[in-house]
Amino acid sequence: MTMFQHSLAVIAVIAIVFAVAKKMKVCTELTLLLAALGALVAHLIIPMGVDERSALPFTEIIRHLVEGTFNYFDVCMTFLTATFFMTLYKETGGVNYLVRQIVGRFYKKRVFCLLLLLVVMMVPGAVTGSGATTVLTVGGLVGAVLAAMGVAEDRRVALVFILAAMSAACPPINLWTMMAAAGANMPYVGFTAPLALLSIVGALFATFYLTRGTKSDSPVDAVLDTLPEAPQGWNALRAFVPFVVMLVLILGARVVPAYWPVIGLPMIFMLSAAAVLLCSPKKVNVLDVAVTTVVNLKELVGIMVVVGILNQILTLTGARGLISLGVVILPIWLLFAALWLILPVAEGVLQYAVAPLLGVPLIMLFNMKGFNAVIALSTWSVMWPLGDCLPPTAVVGRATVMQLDYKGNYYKGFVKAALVPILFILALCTVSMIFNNQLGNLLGV
Amino acid sequence: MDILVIINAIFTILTYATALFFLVAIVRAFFKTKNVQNALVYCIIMVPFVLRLLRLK
Repeated sequence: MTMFQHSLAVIAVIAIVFAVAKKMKVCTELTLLLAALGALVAHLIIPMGVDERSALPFTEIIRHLVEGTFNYFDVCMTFLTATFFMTLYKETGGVNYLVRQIVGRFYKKRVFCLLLLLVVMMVPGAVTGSGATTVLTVGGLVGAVLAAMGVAEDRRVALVFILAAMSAACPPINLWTMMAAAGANMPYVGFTAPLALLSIVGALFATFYLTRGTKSDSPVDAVLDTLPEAPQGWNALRAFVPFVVMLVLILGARVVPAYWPVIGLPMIFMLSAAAVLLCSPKKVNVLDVAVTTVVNLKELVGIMVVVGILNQILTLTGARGLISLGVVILPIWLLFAALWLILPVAEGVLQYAVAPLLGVPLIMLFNMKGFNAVIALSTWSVMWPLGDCLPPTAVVGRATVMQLDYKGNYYKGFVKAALVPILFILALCTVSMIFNNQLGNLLGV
Repeated sequence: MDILVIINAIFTILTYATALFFLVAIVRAFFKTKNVQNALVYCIIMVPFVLRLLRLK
């Protein structure tokens, strides 16, 4: 048996274990872990042909598993701290205050009100990199305002989902880009402009397409009555100070790097969370908020830890190299024609695991062909989150449906309503991918 | 520049404290859950936090 056949057999074992575990209703995180363990067992049992190595000692097996859990530890810490910051802001009533202010002042100015709601939706996902966080922190409130503006239920849920997906793609934190770039030894630099352009254009199109034909003709007071009260004592200064702290800490390292300490994104979000506690008139139990954060992020952090293990085992067994080879030898026209479909579907199956598994070899292929890898990776990273409403995982789609208490049909109602904006964003990303060099020159990337 | 070194050291300690804070939250979530699959996922999530705090990795 050659190494090629060995790696192919390992991939087959992963696919079989994944399918069987899913059939037995095992959650996605444990399914991926079982697939990794199955691959490891297959690697130990199946002969490796002429390139035969010594048997893997038990301690080495443990080392690979443990090292795998650390592959995305920094990303997990960023994710947890950013979501803790946003959850704390929500629990202290800051989100309620902001949304009530927007509705109170701008409800009658429909376009401006929609733009402000778009900003409110984009911020949590942009700073955390998670669409689920957007839905869990502000999705319900924005959904209530949209209902008051007369937006139909299907369209409302579709809009909250798409804005959550675009917020996850929006810079400064895009986890798909971060994971794929880390896997390809590529610095996370230069992605801000292309990610912002694609995600904001997509969000704007979805917002105005899905709210077309509606009117803001209810009395403002009646709309405010449908929204939860903000605790007494909140004002504009208190509401904005935590975000100012976050921006200063992020920009400080870029503006005066020689005189700025190495803080790191996790500590920046923790310091911003401390600013929330100092500014908030309402006191909350910090540990309870942390537990809520962990419970809300269990699936996403769990997937990232397990994907790290799977990645380590795929590399050990040669399967990752084989997948990369399979992608790298594909004709480029086929990728241009099919990635808009492959990426969201793969996201629905593998979640964040698609970024290192498909993203890394794709970066290498595009780089090898002389394309602008930064623009190309940005376009894929905006396409991936759109698959978060697709089975078997559908994490953000399910979270949106639960948060907005949607009673309609998931596919015939919600997904159907979201289809046109989704296709628009996929088309926009595909065109940007094809003209990556030109767009790169335009944006100076 | 010496001050920056001291501040960086403080931030390193604070980063470890943040890891400990979230480990405590994960352990609490682990004891609260009644679902076996969720409990297993929490156990897996704990691994890198424990090893980082023990400075083994």
